[in-house]
This record gives sequence, structure tokens and C-alpha cells, in this order.
Amino acid sequence: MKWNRYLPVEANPTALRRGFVALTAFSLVCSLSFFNAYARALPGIEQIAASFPDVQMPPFSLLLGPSLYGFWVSALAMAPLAGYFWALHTRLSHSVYLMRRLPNRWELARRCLTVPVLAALFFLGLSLALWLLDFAIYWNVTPDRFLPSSLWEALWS
Amino acid sequence: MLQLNHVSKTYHLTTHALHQVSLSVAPGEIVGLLGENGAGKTTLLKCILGLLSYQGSITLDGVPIGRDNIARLSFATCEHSFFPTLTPQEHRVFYREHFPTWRDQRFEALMDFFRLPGNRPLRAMSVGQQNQVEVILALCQGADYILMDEPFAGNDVFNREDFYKVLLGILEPTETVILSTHLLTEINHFVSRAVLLWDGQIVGDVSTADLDEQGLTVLDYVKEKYHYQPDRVSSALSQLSGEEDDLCGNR
Repeated sequence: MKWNRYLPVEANPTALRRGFVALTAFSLVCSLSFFNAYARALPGIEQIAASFPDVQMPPFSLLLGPSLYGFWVSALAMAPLAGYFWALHTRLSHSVYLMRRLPNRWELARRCLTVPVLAALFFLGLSLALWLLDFAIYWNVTPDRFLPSSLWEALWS
Repeated sequence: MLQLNHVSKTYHLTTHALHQVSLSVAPGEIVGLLGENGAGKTTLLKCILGLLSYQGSITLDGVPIGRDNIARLSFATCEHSFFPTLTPQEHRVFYREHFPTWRDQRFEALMDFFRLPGNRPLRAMSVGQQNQVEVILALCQGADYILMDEPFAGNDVFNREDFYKVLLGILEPTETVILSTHLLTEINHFVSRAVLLWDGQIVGDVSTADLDEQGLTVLDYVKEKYHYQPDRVSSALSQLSGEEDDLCGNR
């Protein structure tokens, strides 16, 4: 697939690729905060359990904290990117006049929206996948005696 | 036939850029769209191209202008509608992909004639060269109606002369040009019809053949329609010099 067909004619694919990789890396680094919180909570609970046998792990949502915010910020950043793509057609010249009078009605929209929409979906999808992975770790690695009684309680209580 | 019926355009609810403009342009005509700044020339061209919303109707051979027939119109504007970072050759590829009627031979011939560098980004060219590429792209799109809005602003007089001559030489009988310009003296032998806009309305529409019969030029016609007062400048000057004399006398 030729990705250039889905980008503004004057977009710089290399710069975009770098930006995309940077946002993904930033989001993944942010997501590590869950592992940090979990790795600190589990030994702590085990120590406390010696004195208070009924103690439970903090709820998953608390441990998750802002770890997925990086993906959401990256997804939201795709809205100004679409605006920038549009602005490329009015910068230095009015190539938007040409784009708007092309026989293919969707050419301008395709070039301005496809990549931002797909990238936003990618970041949201990755965020969902990591949420599931984090919860799977929380649910499966934590000893049963420290887990809340129900899945729902584990998620939100 | 390009047909405009009672086309009106209002900006910001109060500014009437066009008011009830009706006009027919037949295939093969070369129409000069004339008028002072703010007369509505650019607005009219943009309405025809669908770049602006308007009241009234604009049809091409009886069919409203839309995606099915928009390729029959091309546009060259002094605002430039090319991609500045692309070279003329890259534009050629883009146009060829989107306009099946693209005229490749004409493109090559015109690029050669004006000695334009095919592989230099347009932003690295002079304004005159950029204007030439803008017009060349409009001419080579393969459109039946070629709309030009002050396309030669920034080109020297010899360059413009060359362009008029080349245009007359290459245009096919069915190709129609609507040229908006201020350069009234230069287009006299180029246009076959002059349409005069004033304050958003058509105040004059005449063929240059009729003007020739009357011994008038396009400029004479425009002056007449605009009620130009030839003695305006001399009376203003004499009034100014009179004031100066008075001032000197008083001293």
C-alpha cells in the first residue's frame, strides 16, 4: 500500500513516521507506571498480611492510575494533526482550490483524515490491549487471598 | 455553454459581492472579465468553480456544476493553486492521475517554450515562473473552460505578450477562456468579448468585434462604462496648484 496516497501531497512522511514512533514510545513509557505501582503494591501487601490477614490488594483502577493517559493524549493529538494536514493546503499557496475541484470528491478528506483517524484508532486500540494485559497480570499474578471477591470489585472498588 | 442565472453572493450577511449576475459563455469564446478591485471578478470565478456558496444557478451545458463535470473547468489564479514543494514534473504526475484529459504534449511544449525547470520545486522559482506554471497547468488539464484570475500579476510585459500569443496559438476552437484582469490595454487583441463588472453587477458586455467597428478599444469601453472623467486629474491638479498659489499670495 502506498501510504503517500493517504497523506497530503506536501506532507513529510519521514517526519510523520518519527512523530508517530515518538508518541508510541511516550505512551508505552507512561504505561510502565502500572507495572511500577503493581511491583510496589504486591510485596507491601504480603508484608502487611502478616499482621492483618484480611488485607486486600488495592483495586486495579487505583494501580492503573494515569498509565494509559499517554495513549489517550496521543489519540487526541491526531485532531490537531488533521487540522495541520488541512492547513498544508493553504500554506504558501492555495492548493486547496485544486484539491476541492478534483473529480474525486473524497480526495482532500482522504488525504487529511485517513492517517489521523487510523493513528487515533491505533492508540486507542493499544490502550485497550494494555488495559486487558494489565488486568490479566493483576488478576492472575496476585495471590487469590489478596484479590477482591468479584471481578467487578477488582476493577472498580 | 456555461450559464449563470441570477447569481448572487453575500459576505458577512451585508456585503453584496455579486448581485443577480446572469451570463452565458459559449464554447470557444475568450472572455475578458474586467472591473476595478472589489468589483466581484474573483468572487464570480470562485462561485463558478464551486469554491464559494452562492444564490442562483450555474450550469454547464444545462447541468449544475458538480463532481461529474468539474473537470471540464480549470483554474489559474494569482493566489496560486499548485503545491509549492512539488516540481512541475511532480505536478504533471498528480494532474495525470486525477484528470484523464490531461494534455501531456502541450505541457511539454509549454514548459520548453518558457524554459521552465521541470525538476525544481515551485517555491524555488521566481513569481513570474510560478505564474507561468500555474497557467500551464490550467491549460494542460484538458478542461473546456479555463478560468484565469489575474494570472500574470508579477510577470513582465514581454512575458505576458508571449503568453497571449501562445494562448491564441494553442487553444482549440472549443476551448473557452475567462480571463479576469486589470491589464486592459494588453488584452485588446486577445479577448473576443469583454464583460464589465461594477459593484457586483454586470454593467457591460460587448464583443471586441463590435468595439472595433466603433473604433473603440476595451480601455475606451471600460472608461465609458465607468463614467471616467478625463479632465478629473487636470482639474484636481489645477485646484491643487490654485490652492498653492493662494497660499503663496497670502504669504
